[in-house]
Amino acid sequence: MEINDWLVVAMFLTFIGFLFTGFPVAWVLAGVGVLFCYVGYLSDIYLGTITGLDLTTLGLVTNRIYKIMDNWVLVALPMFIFMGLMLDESGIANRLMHSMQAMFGRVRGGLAITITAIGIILAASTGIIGASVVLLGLLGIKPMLEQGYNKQLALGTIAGAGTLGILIPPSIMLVIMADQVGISVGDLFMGALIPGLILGGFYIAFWLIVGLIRPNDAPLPKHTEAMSLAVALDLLKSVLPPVLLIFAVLGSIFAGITTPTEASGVGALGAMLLALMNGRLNLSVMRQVCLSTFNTTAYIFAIFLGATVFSLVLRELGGDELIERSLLSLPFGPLGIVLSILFIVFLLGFLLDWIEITLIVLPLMAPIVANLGLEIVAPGMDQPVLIWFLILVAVTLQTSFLTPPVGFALFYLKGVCPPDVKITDIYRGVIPFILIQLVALAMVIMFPVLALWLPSVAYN
Amino acid sequence: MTGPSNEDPSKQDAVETYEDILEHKELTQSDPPNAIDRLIRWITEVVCWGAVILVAVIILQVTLRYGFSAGLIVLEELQWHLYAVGVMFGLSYAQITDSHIRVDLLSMNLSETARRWIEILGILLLLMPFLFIVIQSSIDFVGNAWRVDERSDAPLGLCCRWGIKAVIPVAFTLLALAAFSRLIHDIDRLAGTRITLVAAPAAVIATAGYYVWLLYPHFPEIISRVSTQMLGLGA
Repeated sequence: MEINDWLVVAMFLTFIGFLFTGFPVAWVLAGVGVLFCYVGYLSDIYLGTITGLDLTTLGLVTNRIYKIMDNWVLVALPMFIFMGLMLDESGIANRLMHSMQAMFGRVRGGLAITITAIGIILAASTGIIGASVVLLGLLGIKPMLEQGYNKQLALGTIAGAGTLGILIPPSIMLVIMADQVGISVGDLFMGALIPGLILGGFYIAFWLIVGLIRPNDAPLPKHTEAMSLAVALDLLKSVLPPVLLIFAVLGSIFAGITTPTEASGVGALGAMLLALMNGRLNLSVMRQVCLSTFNTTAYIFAIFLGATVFSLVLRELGGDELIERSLLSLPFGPLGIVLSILFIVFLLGFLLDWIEITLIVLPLMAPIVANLGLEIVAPGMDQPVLIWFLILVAVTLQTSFLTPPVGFALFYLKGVCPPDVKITDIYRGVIPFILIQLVALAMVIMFPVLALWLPSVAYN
Repeated sequence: MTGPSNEDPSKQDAVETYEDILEHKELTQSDPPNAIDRLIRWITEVVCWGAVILVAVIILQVTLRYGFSAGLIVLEELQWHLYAVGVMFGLSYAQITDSHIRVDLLSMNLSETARRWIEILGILLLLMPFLFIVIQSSIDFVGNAWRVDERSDAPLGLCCRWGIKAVIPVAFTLLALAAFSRLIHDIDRLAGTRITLVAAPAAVIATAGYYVWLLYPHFPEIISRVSTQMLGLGA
């Protein structure tokens, strides 16, 4: 290895080291970038490397920041966040909970299935893991524990269902991925829809099976309403508005009628209207949602800034080539290299979350994968390999929320749990859901058509 | 992380609870807010409504485009201007509410003193150098745009590109202030208020000096442009 390569390795290790001090990730990224710019400058003088790093190079960061600001695609980011938070406030989740419980009350595991279904319908429109997990946690933990559900599995369900939001479109993660790799947001949304629904379906199937083989873990409620037409109608009335909203947003993007940015604004308005319909919209709710949108967008954006500095310096040090060289020198075929990348992403998921991985790792890996010469046939599509690869990464990243020590779903879940719930309960509870995620990942690897069918239909 | 309350969980507000967990309150909430925190909160209360305006602008654009097939470039540009202002000013709010993502797995077990030391060293050695570099280079960046009266590339686009570019140094200065406020909190707790009373004014003077040093070479030009163009004095 040359001196440059050692510097790249040192940079990564320094980052990981500082990460564990608990200082904000965004500023660790930025600070380590600045630090290694100086290291590169010194090594040019004393070690004879040619990195060309100096203060002028770092000044480019300002241009990069402006490029992030002057970005019409990313306007969708605060709008989708606003839409999701507004839906959380709209009272729809409580209505869904009430009517679905009446519907599924007499199925074993019905309550957990209800939570998962709300996760798919509602939280799925947000893609802010923290908010989804908190909402589902507030809604579901107490009833599930009171009804005598297996504590660990109940907690796992909430973490799993809350995490689905980042995969099922519209999701802010997919917007950022598409922006980073330079493909259409609509294509990526379409690609993620079926894998996301499959994963949600697996969670539901999991509870049906638990109800069959371990009925004590999923007891029936003591009082159940009889199924009736009224119950079904009530369910329809509460499910229809949010589902229509999501269909309108996704449908108009898929049909190519609107851009994702426009659809996100319309979605935000729709969420406000739903809140208005339920009598939840007032000035203080608006203020709360605005502040929260502001805050959430900011912490994501801060990592954009940090990652910009980090990647800039990493590239100048020759990090891109080092990673490409090491990946291509692996003794596997193209598919093996893709699997290795996913394995790396899975491992990184224990330490980092989706934002850093999407902003730093993805731009490094995507061009390599695009040039592997993988044969994936999807008639009429622009870059089927990239879309398939991004969906694989997106499914893999699902695990990053649930894997301790740094799993953000777990962190938020702990925040809304009753005090007697131990963090180890949560760790154990998510294991089956991580396994299910890996099964779904294997399916998309083996059958790329799951990710590519919908976009290719749209193209023809 | 906030402790779970005894209220009925279904009555708790989901978004509020999410915020509570997001903001690592244990070290900041105990500290009295200072003038910087209040300033940033006050700015936030105004700027955060930009989200609602952004919704309105998008809806207006969509209506015009699909209802009357007449999109306006100005509206399109206004959208990313609003987004950019929102995210850039949000940085300092997230800093004072301590909402930036941390990996506090190990540090959670450290003593309060150790954590405050980490924060002080982190701000001084990791965050501040970054802020200074961006502020320094962004002032030239804005200056260049201002000198040529840069406007949108589109003929019907917005004017005054330097205005939106100026958001970078302004927002970063606010962020630096927010980091500085955190520094005061931590030093205050570790070393006592008397040290803060000396350290705080010293830092303010140093920062002010830094800005003067940065802007000094540009003074003649700024003065001449302001007097000729903005105040309309002699040409």
